[in-house]
Amino acid sequence: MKKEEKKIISIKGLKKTFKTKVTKPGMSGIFKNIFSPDYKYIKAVDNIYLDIKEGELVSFIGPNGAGKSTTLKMLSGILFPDSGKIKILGKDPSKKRKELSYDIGTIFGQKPQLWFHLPPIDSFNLFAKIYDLDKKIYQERLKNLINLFEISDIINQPVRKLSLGQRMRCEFVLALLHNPKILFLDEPTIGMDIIVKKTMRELIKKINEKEKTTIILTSHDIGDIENISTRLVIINHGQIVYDGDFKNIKQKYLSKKLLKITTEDKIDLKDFKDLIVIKKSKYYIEFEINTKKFPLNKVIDFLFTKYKITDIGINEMPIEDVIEEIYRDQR
Amino acid sequence: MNSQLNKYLSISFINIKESLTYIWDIIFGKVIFIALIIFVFANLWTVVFASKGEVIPGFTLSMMVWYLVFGEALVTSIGRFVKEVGDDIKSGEIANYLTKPYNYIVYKIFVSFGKGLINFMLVLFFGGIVAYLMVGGIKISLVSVPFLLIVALLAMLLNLVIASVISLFAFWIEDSSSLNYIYSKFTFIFGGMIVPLEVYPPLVEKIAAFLPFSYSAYHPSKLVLIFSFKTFLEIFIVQLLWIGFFIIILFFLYKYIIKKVSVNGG
Repeated sequence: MKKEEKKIISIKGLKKTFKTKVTKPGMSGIFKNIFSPDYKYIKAVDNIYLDIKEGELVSFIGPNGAGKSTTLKMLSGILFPDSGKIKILGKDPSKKRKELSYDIGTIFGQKPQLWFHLPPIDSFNLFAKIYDLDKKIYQERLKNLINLFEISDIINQPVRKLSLGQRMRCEFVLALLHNPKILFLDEPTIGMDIIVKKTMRELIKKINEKEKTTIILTSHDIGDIENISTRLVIINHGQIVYDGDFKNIKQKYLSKKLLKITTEDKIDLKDFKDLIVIKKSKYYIEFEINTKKFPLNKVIDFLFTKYKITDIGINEMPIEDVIEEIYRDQR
Repeated sequence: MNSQLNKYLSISFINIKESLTYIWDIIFGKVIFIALIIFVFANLWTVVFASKGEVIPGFTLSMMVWYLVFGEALVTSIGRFVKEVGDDIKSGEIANYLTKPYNYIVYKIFVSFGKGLINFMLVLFFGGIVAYLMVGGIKISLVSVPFLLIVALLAMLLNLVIASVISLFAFWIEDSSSLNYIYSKFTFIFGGMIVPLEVYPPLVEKIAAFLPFSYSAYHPSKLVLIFSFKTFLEIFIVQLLWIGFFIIILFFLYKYIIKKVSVNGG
């Protein structure tokens, strides 16, 4: 067996249900909520089986509340499964969380770990102590990471003065200092603009390729993982809907784009008769195109010659729609 | 063990360093307010002493005011610990901490200890200036200073371990502000932060003097004013006993609770 094909994570029959209070309306509801609350049970993760090999880059994609973060949190040992088995490097994360923390790096979106008022180097030095790194090994590792992420000129500036992109680079260095075998990225692109997202994608690819780190990331936006993901796992209602190559999904389902156009001239519906119009008013139209049938550049060329366009938006199909189509095909 | 302690002390150290970068925020946002409270009480005690004389036998006007300075400096130094833990749980931030090779609650204690040292010194300095200008200074023998420092540090630590035990209940309660409020009022009243316990009826005084809260405010503050090596030793031992007691509770409760954790934002 080749080294790259060694199984690093195995998930078998994983289940997790959350119990939440149901808030009843009205005055009587207030008292009922206090004395005899009703509970609702939500199956966040429902019987997931998954094996991940060393060096793989896996993306968990699904709508909000699909169970991807819950799965990731169970993998990192901070949530305990109701049933099922997880093995990471042969260990159960719910029992060996501390031990495994030396092998796992984590980045939870919008929950930065750098000390905001201090330069990144201070956070790096602290993490070296937290992970019991040998001084020599740490210095060597830091030097490599500083070069890899090109942050040598910013490590002595307070984090609050860095741009979002620079901060992110430093967050990655922090998470990778202890040379983890596995990196968990939970919604790493949340709240980021297109440019920073692009930097992020490049960083993720770089880590996977250069450091050979096994990476699992979650996102609710399938467009996020364009160009980076080799393996895609789509999760919906706690179950795996798709597990396979990203390319297949892209060819099959991501050929559809959503266009939003605002014009100065009145829109003539006849021009859109072969397309699926979702919303229309006098000077605004929202429609879906299949780029296989109607190449995007041709559609746009046509629109610009015919109309005075003041605003244009091109979006990927929302993940919910992609999932719906996958279901339809499975039936 | 040694490297473990070293790890946690580094956490305190980085928080001291960070506190120093926004020291003016701390001074204007918090310390000035506390100095103002000391100013108000100094005026109040001046009026009371002018009309009634000594409220507590042996406590002069300047002793009353300086008592408040020490009480405030000790108790307010740890910040809103219970609420901070609650916020970590509520925001899901705790996920960042639980995936590290340290104990979350011990980590928090050392974070607050670091920040607390800076707060403590700032309140002591600015509150001290107000007290000195209003009622003059007090006599502290130089020999007693190291012993007072030990008791002060243990007072802060005791305060933190009690707060930690209480903060763990934030894992069940959705909003921890109420817990924080109750705990801080307990240290105000039973801990004797504002006035020495002698102002209470004898029975209440006895109970409060026995309870752990008073070892984080009343006993240490009084020791500064009336020092004896014997009292130091008594306070020191009882502080250690209470700290040990709460650490044991903390250990078992944390072990139990961490299994029930549901990290928000799943």
